[in-house]
Amino acid sequence: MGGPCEISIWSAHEPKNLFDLVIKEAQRLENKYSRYLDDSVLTQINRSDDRFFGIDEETKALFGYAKTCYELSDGLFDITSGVLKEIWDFKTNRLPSKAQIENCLSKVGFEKLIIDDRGICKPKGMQIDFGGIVKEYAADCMANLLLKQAGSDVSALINMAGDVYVTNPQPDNQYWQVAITHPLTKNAIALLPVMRGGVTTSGDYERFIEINGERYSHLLNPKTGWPIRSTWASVSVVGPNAVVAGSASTIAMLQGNNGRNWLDELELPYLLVNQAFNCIVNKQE
Amino acid sequence: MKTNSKLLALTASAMTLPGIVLQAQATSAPVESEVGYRLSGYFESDIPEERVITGTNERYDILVNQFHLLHPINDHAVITYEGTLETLSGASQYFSTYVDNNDNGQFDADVDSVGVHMSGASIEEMRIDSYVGARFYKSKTEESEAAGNYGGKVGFSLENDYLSLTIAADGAMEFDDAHTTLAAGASYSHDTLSPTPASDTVAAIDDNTAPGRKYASIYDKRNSMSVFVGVGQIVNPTMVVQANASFTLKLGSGVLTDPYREYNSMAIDSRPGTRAMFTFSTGLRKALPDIDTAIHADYRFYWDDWGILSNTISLAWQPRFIVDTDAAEGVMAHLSDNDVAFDISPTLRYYHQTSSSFYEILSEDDFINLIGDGVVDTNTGDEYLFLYQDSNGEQIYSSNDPRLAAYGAISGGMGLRVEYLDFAFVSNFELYTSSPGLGIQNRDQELHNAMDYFRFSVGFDYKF
Repeated sequence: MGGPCEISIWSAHEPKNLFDLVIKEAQRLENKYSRYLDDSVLTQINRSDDRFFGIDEETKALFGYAKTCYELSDGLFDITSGVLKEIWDFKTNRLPSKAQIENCLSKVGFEKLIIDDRGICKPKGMQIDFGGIVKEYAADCMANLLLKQAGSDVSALINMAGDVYVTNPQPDNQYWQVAITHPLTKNAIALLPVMRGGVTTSGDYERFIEINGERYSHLLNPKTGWPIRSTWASVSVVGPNAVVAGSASTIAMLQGNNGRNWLDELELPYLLVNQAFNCIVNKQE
Repeated sequence: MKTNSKLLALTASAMTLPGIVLQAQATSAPVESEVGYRLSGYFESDIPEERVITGTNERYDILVNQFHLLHPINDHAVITYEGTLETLSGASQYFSTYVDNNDNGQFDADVDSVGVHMSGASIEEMRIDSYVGARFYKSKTEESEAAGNYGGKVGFSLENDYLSLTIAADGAMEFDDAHTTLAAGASYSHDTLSPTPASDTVAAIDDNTAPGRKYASIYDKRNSMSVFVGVGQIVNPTMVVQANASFTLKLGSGVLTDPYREYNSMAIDSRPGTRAMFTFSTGLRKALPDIDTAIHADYRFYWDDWGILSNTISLAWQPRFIVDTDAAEGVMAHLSDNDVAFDISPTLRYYHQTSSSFYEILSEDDFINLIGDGVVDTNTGDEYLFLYQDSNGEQIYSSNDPRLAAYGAISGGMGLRVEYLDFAFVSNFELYTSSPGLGIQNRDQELHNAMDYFRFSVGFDYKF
């Protein structure tokens, strides 16, 4: 899931089985949608150039959700931009050539996908990446399992490498305090009190590329092929669930200056940290 | 959490994901108190002058003040109060007869004319309703998959000639992560009626032996019992279907009548002592998030053992408009940094019913023949003039109440709800017209007082 994960459960009963249950669910999704596992469904889709690959309802629904994000973000949130990551190496800090970028962009574009009853058909070379959806979706799935298994009043916090889902307040109606990391110090820059719902953060402080002193986000603009030179060091959003909060925060990052307007329009509570590390909060009350 | 078109689109799309957490899964008690007020007006059109044989042609105007309060007492329970003050003015309709123009002893719609006998003067009446209730909310637990709520209320409805005591309970359980909701309820009412004479020539109402004593039923008591069951199903994130069935039994002590339908101060309305009523209704709610709109379509079937069968179809369109006060000009610009949401809902409804088996229009001679000389109450030994009997002393049922006739009706209206901060302003109006020609049975039959009305309601809700 790309980072450390954490599960906290308040339970009157022995919670070991609950932990086993939700960890198994996280592993299921990791095995199914990881780009790095050779036998994952996503890897098989990425290998299936120019032919239909049969997909199950869950995968089809994920593509459907990705399409909604693509449309709402005017094409900025595009799960087909995965191929761009091959030319942007965030470890070596080396810039790709213009030709490389143009070549990649020819393989990018959600509208080039065909999804119907036969499955999915993608153009040769296109790489699909569910980053920005699956980690958040995993938090939701795990929470859903917990709520089913332990009762709808179970109090739990699931943190999937920064994407959080809170099922219910802590005992005595205490809010869960979700810490937002300071981009530099790695301490908490803010605490978001959350009763229930998803809290996700998109930022360029954990994965980024710095070239000639200029800092580029790990988020790539599928229209230009370049990383986003972000207005925001981080964007945190509280949403009805993690997957909605996650796409809201990712699209806000991708939109740069317009990100704040996007969040205001959504009317979801948010916390923005700008490049000077000042916080901007809108509780949407 | 607020909703707008983009958030709605994201949320609706997310809810197609099989593992997503449904926000509706836990039935939770309201966390805020709410007060509300409505002022409603209901105005019936006058009866055409040419239809009125005696009395005035005014019909009812009704003004209703309603107040409601909801207050959470803890995380799982709320208490509620509902109060109504209603004032009514207008003339009461006594009965309808036809003039036998071709003198053949029966009503011929083509030849004979129907007229209405109304009370001579407008009356003023008041009704007070008061109900208190409680509702409890249950979350899904380790022991039980189902979440739900249950509650009840008790109260009274009081008029100068009528007291009704009501107790009601209902509950709803949610299953399958709130995709399926089952609901059931029951209510019981005990009514005491003491109809008042409209004419000075009629003796005091406490004297059971007096001619002209009005009876709603022999002992002026009426009980009603009602049960209902319902099921709701979320088909997908943007569509919900629901179905409900109810059964109601009205049980009078003796014969149910409308005591104010009279002829020469004698009741001329005779209906069976029981009435069993069955309804089945189904509805569809379809959200169209791309255009911030919802469509409601409803159908209701009704049947009772008095012979009335009705069908109702209604359609409502509910677009939502949101004004961004940051960008607004004029008055809106003075509002604080919160959007104003407008819900406008045009509605259209069609209704038709068949006639009751004992609905009939009689001539005045028929009334005299039917009323007879009088009836002895075997319980008290009192003799009083009462209702129809045949030559064997058997009860004859007959009523010319137009509400029991065959007719159809169309109504159209518009609702407006404006939300700003914790306030909601609500208003709606409806125009209604009815006639036999709009129905599907006896369409050429003359309905002696087919009615039109105008209804409005304005009010507010405030959460705190």
